[in-house]
Amino acid sequence: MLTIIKRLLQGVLVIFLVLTVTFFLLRLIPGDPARLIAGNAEESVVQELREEMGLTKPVLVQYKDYMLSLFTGNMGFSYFAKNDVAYVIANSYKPTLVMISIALPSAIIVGLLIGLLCAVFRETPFDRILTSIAVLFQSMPNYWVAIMLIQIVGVKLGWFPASGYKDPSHAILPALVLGLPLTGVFARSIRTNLIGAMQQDFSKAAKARGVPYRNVLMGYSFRDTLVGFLTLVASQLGFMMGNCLLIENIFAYPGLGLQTLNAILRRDYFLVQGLVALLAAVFIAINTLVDISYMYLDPRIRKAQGGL
Amino acid sequence: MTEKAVNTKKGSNFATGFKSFMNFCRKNPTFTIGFVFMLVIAFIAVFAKQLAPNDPYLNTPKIMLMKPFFDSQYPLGTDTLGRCLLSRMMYGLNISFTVGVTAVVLAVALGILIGIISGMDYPGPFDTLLMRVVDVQMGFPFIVLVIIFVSLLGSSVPALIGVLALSFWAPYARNVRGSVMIEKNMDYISAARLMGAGNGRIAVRYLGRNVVPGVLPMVPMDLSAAIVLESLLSYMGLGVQPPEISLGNIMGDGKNYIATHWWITAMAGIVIVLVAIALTLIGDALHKQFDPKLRN
Repeated sequence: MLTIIKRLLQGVLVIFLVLTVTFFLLRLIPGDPARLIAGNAEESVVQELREEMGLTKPVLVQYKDYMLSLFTGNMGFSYFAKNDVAYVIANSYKPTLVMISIALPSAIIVGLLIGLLCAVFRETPFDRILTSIAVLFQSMPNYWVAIMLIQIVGVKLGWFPASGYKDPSHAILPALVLGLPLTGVFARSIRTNLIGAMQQDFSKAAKARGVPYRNVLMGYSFRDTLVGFLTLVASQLGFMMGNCLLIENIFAYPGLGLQTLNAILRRDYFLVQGLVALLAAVFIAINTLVDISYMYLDPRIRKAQGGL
Repeated sequence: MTEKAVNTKKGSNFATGFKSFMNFCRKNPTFTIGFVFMLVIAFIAVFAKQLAPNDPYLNTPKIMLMKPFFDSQYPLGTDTLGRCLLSRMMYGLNISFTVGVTAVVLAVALGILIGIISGMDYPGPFDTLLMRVVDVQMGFPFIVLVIIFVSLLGSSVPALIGVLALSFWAPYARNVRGSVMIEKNMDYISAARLMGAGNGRIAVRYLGRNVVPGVLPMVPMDLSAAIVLESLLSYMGLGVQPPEISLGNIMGDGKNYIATHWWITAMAGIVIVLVAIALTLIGDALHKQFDPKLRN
């Protein structure tokens, strides 16, 4: 229990640090949000707007104001969306969530299946073909896959919509781009670890005791690979969130990633800060959850950590 | 294992090293394929200027958007300005490799340095601070970092190398720190201390030598990731700027004509896919060699 509380406190500290870095970096980069909003308006108008946005105050005062308002639950105001940051986020998280919840479970299921088949039929031509496909999936740059899929599946064949978001069918191509490399990574990791586990003493001992092959495979060897697999899934989630940004940009898919990119380009300070904080929070929450689930999955770790 | 033992005994003997390397190649055919392919690609990248059949910057509007495999003068066809695509890809490989290799070398050096300092300091304040920095780095979305960096420094090759190095060092630091924390309590370190070795000597001669091989298998994968990311940023217009050529630039140029002339983007992408596959194969073999659990 103590471990969990400690982890959560550390997580809050990391979010705070990420926000601080973002805050000052954003104000360091050239570009004036007031000028960007006002366009070609006269300097006096822009100056007025700057004052309204609080940009004329010293940076440290702005920082203090922002952090204090954050503690009261106010994430600030997006001048481009003309709405609260919290409202903008609440309005654009859905497409991203749909995309991830198609991509991640399919990648896990297909990856597990391929990995399992490869391990069972290891060193056969069947295994080699599947492994090569997994390497290919993993190595293709995702933006290139996205362009090709838009061209071939979206435009030439017209099977799925290739841009925008109206209903979940729009999420299929982006989810495919997001999920393919993950599938490759998962399949290869399961294959390697499962083959390793099948040669370990506990698997051999179970086999010697007369446990049927299928039970040895699933109940002993496969179970041993799960902790490692969980770590891998968690470590890929960070990359995945970065990739969302890019994929949403290519597919003009109006989710959190596209918002982030536009917010940075428009110097929409508060929106960027809110989105980066959200990303960091999700990232940390996932890692903490994974650490906790280790304790349930692996008794050895539970003991080392002093129990739950 | 045996060939490694031989290697350390006669470390300076080139012939033995070469022999054990050939042995390793024979045992790992996939490694050999990847390695030979990378040698060829690296050769093309380094000698792009000598090997390219045409001037990659020369506009010849008369022959623009020529199809590949039709003309022996322009084997892979031409782009929208009638520039030879094969030559452009060779020059592009040169820049992609320069950026990728430099960035990864910097990242590995930085990661090892910080990892050793952090591990030796553990559980001191320095270690706590550095590990929080690593956490922040790993929790920070890469693209956001890149865009902020590029707007701050402008998009030039050095800025690109800096950004990529900054986004790859953290896992090395964490990995090295972990091994240092284990190694530094071993007897041979205490023995070295008794003989009067200072922190610097311990770090370089003793810890460094034992800790560095552990992170080597990560290098090919990161090199592949760096080359892919470089091409991505150049494709988005945030990386290498025209007239300089990178594989990403070529794809970016081709993007506007993709409906009718898809092969420009497709071919440059295939080159990157092949490089990434070759590096993955090399990385896999190294993982197997250095991780005792996977060796059987």
